[in-house]
Amino acid sequence: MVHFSAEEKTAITSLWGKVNVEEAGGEALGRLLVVYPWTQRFFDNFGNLSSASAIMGNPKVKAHGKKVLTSFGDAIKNMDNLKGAFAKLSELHCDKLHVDPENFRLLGNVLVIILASHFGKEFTPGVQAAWQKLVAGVATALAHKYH
Amino acid sequence: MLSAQERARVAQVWDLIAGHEASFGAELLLRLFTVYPSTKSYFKHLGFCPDETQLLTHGQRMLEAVGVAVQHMDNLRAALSPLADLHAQVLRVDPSNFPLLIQCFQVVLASHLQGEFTVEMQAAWDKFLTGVAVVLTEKYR
Repeated sequence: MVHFSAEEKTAITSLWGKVNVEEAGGEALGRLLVVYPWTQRFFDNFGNLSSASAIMGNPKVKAHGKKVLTSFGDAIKNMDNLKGAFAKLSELHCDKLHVDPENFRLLGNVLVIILASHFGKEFTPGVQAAWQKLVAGVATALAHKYH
Repeated sequence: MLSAQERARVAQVWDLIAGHEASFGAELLLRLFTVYPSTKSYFKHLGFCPDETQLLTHGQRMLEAVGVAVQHMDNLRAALSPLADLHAQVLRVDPSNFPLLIQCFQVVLASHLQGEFTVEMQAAWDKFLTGVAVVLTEKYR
């Protein structure tokens, strides 16, 4: 079970409060699909993914990104029990969506990079460490029910 | 490997780093050691809490090597051959650590360039640094 110190929780929640979930979600998913094009394999029905600008402007990418990041927000409310919080989503990603858990790690890393670009100097090494721990915890929780 | 557009983006970002190799390198190492403490196992000579001078010195060396790679994107193997030998025979850094360094590199770039760190730059640098890591570990066995 991942344990977050009070300092780590503060680093995470104080930044999260300033994040525009809709924008950041679209950006995170968009960047994942551009930087790691093989991840597009899960989104055949999303329409035009033919270029970086097509992907970043694609309304389905934005909508889905918002959905994913909103659920991430739930993780932040349940940092002490990520496995419990993501149990159902884990089953869904395994049984219905068939997503390789490596993709959760890739998306988590992309999210950290986006936060760094938004927050600049405020995104100190200590803050990055807390966030990398969180995204790793979420990725593990999402993979937990795989069989 | 890298298209002409990707090379242009790598060079474009490098122009923003050139001249600041020491401070970028130091921040890169500080982030690496803070976020992924196990990586410190390769830097025993810097001690458990490397000071600023040590980070700047070693960071500069690493970023200068990245600069060499940027100048020779069309022939990384030849340009990085001595470094590849060093990593294979002396340093023997487990290949799983390179993605950790690359993640921290991207975070350094993103936090400094902020809105200017476009998705195309991120894609080009990720691909470029991954290519450098492949060359550096190619002679391992």
